[in-house]
Amino acid sequence: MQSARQLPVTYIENSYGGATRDYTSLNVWESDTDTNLVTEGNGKVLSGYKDFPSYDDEIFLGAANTDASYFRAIQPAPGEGHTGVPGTGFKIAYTGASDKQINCFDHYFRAHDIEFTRTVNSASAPRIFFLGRTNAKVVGCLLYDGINTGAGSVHGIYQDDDKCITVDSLIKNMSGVGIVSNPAAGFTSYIYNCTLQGNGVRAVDHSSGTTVCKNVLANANVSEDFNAGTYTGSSNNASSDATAPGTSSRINQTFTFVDAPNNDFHLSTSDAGAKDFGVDLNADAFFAFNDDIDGDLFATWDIGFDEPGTPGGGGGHLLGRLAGNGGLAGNGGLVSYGGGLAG
Amino acid sequence: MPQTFRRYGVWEVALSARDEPNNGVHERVQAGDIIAIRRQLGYVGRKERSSVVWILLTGLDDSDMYPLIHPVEEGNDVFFDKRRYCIPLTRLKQAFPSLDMARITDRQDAYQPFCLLDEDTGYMLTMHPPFHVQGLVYDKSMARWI
Repeated sequence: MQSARQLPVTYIENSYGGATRDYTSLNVWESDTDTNLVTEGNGKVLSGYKDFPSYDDEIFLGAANTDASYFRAIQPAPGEGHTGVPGTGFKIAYTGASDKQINCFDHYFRAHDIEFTRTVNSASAPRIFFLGRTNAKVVGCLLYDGINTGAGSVHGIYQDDDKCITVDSLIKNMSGVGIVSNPAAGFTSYIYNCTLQGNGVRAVDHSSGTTVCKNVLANANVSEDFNAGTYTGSSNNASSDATAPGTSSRINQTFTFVDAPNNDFHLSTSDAGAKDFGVDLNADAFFAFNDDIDGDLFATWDIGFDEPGTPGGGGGHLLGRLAGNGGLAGNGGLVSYGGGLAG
Repeated sequence: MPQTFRRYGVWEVALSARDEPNNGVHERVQAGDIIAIRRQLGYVGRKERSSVVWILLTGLDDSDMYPLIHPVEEGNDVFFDKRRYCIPLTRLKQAFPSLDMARITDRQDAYQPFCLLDEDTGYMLTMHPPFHVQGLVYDKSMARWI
């Protein structure tokens, strides 16, 4: 059993939020933690608090020395995460002019269970995440309302290097593309168990390299759900149009959500388009995991970010509950746990 | 009568107070490098009271202000220097002669020469008026002042 949310083997944790926290600026935390994490033997984790409804902030992760055991991660503090529904958790709502809100040049960087929105006036296409180094991972995040009041658009996630992955996430209402997959030729990026809803261009845009989509639900994206491209190894995706790539994928489906008009895109137990049609990723060769957007375990695997009929997030993810992260709220403390790494 | 002046916003800017050692991958920030830029919040976190120096800047539009935290880039994906723009501390001392150069580089000293912080809450009680970017901010990539 393995959660999609994995933290460094040992790490230093700091808090983010209002003036009583360690940091009020993501970039200052980044600068303080841009060290050789491997030789130090410690990862760095920033835990966000809902001291305010949202934070207008950005970060340029400038290539700390990391590996699969020691890396940097940003997540909500225990009890501060979303419930799978936009507007319920720790949120970064950026309105600045940088093209890349979360500009990642760290290998192995992780963002867990954070909400993101973006408002910009630009003639180009800014993106919320730019994953520019290998093995960067976005897990359990809600990206929504990417609004460009200028002539351009807003993309959700731009996966630009080998082995980057987005898992268990909702990407909704980007004015551009939900996820752009753009690793170089010979490289692969991954999208597992995501729900991509109502984006202005398409859900997934394969641009180069290989894009592996598994259990991806794409619904009502304006131009199309998936573009044509190299989706070798993909399976069990579902689309509302005829574009879902891979084996055992389902096209022209109708999906039933718990309360779509109020942004609750958890699958209804009565859904017949995606429920129980996923491929089991418990032993996936690239990224093995077993929990959904809320940290609930997939029983019979579904397509999309949710295992229907489970209680929902309640502001805490599975790793938090298992590892007793409720006790980790102290700032600057050294933490360790015995969980394995997800890839 | 035509109006010829422009009104710019005021920005909170975090400067690196000291040179940080190489992290094994690239050069980290150097003293005076611009680390963070944001619209005025009026408070800082506990660890932000000593690791950086907070200063107010003005003189650029939004679209020109945000690039001040960009790296020096080589090509599309490669960078070798953590930050492209800086305010050299020697230049800052010329603009603010009472700046204590020994204290600003002391890692243990929560020295904030441009703002008075409430020690309990982190709120900025008073701030030095904003400095203008022209002649103060240096572009390392182009080797010129902006």
